[in-house]
Amino acid sequence: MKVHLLYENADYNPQMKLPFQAKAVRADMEIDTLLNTMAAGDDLLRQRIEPLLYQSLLSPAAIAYRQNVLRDCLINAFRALYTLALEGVENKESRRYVLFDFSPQQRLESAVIELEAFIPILQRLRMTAEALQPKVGSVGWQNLFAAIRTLVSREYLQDMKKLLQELHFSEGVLVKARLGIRLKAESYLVCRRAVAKPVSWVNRVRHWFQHEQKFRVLIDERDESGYQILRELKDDAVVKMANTVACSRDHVRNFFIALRDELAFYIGCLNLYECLQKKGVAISFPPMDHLCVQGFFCKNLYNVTLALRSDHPVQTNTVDADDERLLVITGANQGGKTTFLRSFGQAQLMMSCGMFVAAGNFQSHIGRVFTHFKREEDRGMQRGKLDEELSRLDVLLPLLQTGDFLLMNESFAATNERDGSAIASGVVDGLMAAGVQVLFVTHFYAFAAALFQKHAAGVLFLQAQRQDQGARTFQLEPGEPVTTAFGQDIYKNVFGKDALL
Amino acid sequence: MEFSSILFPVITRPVLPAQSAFFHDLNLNQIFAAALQGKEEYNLAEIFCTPLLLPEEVRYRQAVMQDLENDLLRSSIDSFAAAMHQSRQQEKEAAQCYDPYSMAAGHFVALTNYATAIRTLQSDLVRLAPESNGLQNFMVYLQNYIGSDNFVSICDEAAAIFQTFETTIYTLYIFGNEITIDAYHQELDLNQIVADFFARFAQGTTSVYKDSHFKDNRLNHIEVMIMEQLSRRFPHHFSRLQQFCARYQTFRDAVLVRFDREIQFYLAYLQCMVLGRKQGLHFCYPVISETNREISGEDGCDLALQLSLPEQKGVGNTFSWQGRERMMIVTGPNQGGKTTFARMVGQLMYLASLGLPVAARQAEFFLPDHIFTHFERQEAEVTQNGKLQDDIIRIHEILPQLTQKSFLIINEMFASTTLSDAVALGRLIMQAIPARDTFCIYVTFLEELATFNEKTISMVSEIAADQETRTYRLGRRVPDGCAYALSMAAKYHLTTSDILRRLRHESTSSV
Repeated sequence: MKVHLLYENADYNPQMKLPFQAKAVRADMEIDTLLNTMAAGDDLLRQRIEPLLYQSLLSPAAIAYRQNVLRDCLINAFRALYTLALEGVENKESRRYVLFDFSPQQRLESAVIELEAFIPILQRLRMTAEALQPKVGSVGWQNLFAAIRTLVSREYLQDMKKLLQELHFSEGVLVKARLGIRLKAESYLVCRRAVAKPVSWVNRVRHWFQHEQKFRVLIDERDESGYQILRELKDDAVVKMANTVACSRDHVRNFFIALRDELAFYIGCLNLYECLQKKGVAISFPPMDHLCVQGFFCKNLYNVTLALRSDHPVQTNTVDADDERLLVITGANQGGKTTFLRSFGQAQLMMSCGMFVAAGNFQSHIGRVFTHFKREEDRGMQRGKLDEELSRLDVLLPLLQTGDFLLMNESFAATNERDGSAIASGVVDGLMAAGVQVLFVTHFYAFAAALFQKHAAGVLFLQAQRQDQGARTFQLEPGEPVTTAFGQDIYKNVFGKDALL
Repeated sequence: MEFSSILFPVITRPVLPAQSAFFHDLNLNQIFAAALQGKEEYNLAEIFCTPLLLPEEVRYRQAVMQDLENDLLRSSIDSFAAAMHQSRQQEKEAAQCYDPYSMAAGHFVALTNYATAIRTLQSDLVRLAPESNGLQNFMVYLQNYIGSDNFVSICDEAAAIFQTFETTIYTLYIFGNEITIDAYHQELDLNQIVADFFARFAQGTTSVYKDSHFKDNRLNHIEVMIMEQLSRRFPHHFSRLQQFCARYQTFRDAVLVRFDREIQFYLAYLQCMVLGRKQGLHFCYPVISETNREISGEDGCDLALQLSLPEQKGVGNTFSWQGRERMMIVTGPNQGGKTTFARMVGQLMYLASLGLPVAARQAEFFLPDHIFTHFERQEAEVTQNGKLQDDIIRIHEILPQLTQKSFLIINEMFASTTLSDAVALGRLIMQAIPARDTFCIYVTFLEELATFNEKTISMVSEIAADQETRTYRLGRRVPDGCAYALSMAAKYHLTTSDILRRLRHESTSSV
């Protein structure tokens, strides 16, 4: 009985590692803010969601599968199911017993009791499945509910009760063993005692005869060490049985863990969805039946973490880069360049793991997100900084594949404009030729201008705008790169009337 | 020829422990300790302390060792040894049992393991076809032993008994303080029933719990009671077992027991060779000269040093005595590998005389009647005078014992006196030794001795081209004084020209 809400044909791996680029992406894309909202204070949710955020799904079908499951979640708010999963994981009987070093007999008994405690939870799980199945449309939910209804049927639970009753061994335990030349049973196997059946008189005589032939050892009531040995013998006898029952207990528990872990992602999405609803901002599911061949298209794309943090409406951008492999963003300082880079990266990441995105409309292609941002630390060491930037890019290169997105924010700004431009041109040429999608925020006019000369097609140039009075619109517009980053505007803003300009 | 020992073609004399001072001086005891590690039960030290006197004895051992360098053969002997060890252990444990059931079972298991070990070894040897006389003779012995009526009937009977016990399945029904013993009547395995029932919840991983904990091999009194009932339930099984054990109370063959111990001598040294080879050492089988007295070696290494410095790569040194050469004078800077070199030659010679391969690309030795060493003693209580006196007393004791077939290693003798004294004393000793025509290595800082006469060879430790690094390599040449000191000076810019230049600079700047 597999949960399979995250992948149609594969299990979720809770030990999933964060990919190499995760650390940089987390910082550069402000993933922590996003995760905080999704986790809503629940560390477990956070741990389960984060790896999925960086682990892009590789096919549109896999993304669509999650999108559909998520749509059902947004409509039905399956929080009760998550609570039930938690209840299963934290079986109330398990806690009482974990503190002690148990003998096999005690382990057996405690595992049986724990399994018995699963029965009412499983019962409620089946009833929930019965109630919800008519309301869901996605393949993921249909399959899961159908499996629960079939495999945890009323009859199955009745049989389970009976079997667990037998495992209390209230009428003694029967084990078989091989005599073996060492005369030490290597392992005992608990057997089901044959139920005495009414028999013909011939068999009855035979049975009586066999009964007489039975060989008994009776431990004297005063033989204390004998009793101790008997206890140990019983422990030996049931050790394998105890392990089998414990494994079974773990199987049931693992099912609930899997349910909890896979639901965690959707509960996180639900948390985010409800927050964004309150802010009154739009979300959409990127259409998986229409992917861009290269590049992307977005309408009213906004920075989701900015939206979560701010009480005011956030700036949105509409960019049609459906056919471009390189996006060069220049223009006014504090004009929304980095914000746009983030909003795109976030949307691409969210789309790739099956989430909705923070945009009125978002279309892209399948590709992972890598970042190469200017680092603020170590301002003093100019030489060392360029080394550091280059080496950071150096380690990313082997990971990049065709279709991946590399978001570069003022890369190579550690050196002067001429050197930086030359490095950047070389890098960008190589990346484009390799089919990597580059979004490059830069204030190197020389670099942008050279690109503009060279690639009229295939490159989209965006400008951070300013209005005539110098106020920023935070709106990006296509156009030829301009020479100034409008630092004077900022200067003026800061100095106000005292400005000498 | 009837096989008797894997160490000697013919046993001519008893193996006697002959612990000598030079084991310590040459660090041979470190090599032996490494070899004997984990092989304590075989008591092999005395074999390592007994050098061979005849070239054919050396060749006998070398041939066996060459066979054992085949990993397949070696691992076959290893398993044989492990099985024999286990069997001995089991026999010992069985004898300590109190009840007749576990005593018989333990004895039976010990016996069958012994028999299996021997049969396995025999078939392995036939398959691997060793070429040495020693192992071939042993194979013939083994063949006859295994074919003997006694051994065949032991094996047949044991197999039959084993089969009955292993295929008998019984049940215990435990209820209250009562245990009921019965034969197995095809009752269903409840583990399988439970596992199948809950399998539907499995998520790919299955927890692993330990099934059994350590159990005492001996039976406790309840188990003995159960055994009594089992022996009543299956009376034929038990009586057959006990009769068998009574009949074969003792079963070990003396020659095989001896082989089991003696073959460990080779495996012990192979342990060291494996470690040495990991560090890039080469091993060769030295040629033993019978008529003339040859000593030579190419790229010889101090095995003891290598074993104690597992991280470093060994440095090989080449040496030979030619024609009338007898005295090898080793000079050079401190820490340049002089003592290591002298030790290495002594080690190689001694190990060769045990019939073992040595750490060199190739080597030739004669079998010495005795190796003498004269190394500096480090006793704290000996005063400076006392130390010199001790040196002289010791060399005085050695000199009369020297023969044509001896080998003498002197390390830094007379280091505690004045230079002129030491030179004078050194010359006296140098004159005394040739009378005995003994081969000798003399490690000293007295370069004056290096060109003593035509019987003298001068070996000098070399310095790398950068004038700083020590190479630990020695070459045959006349000592050149202070090359090493110069190199150290250069490193700290204190050579003559350095000092001149620096002083001139200083003086100009101070003006």
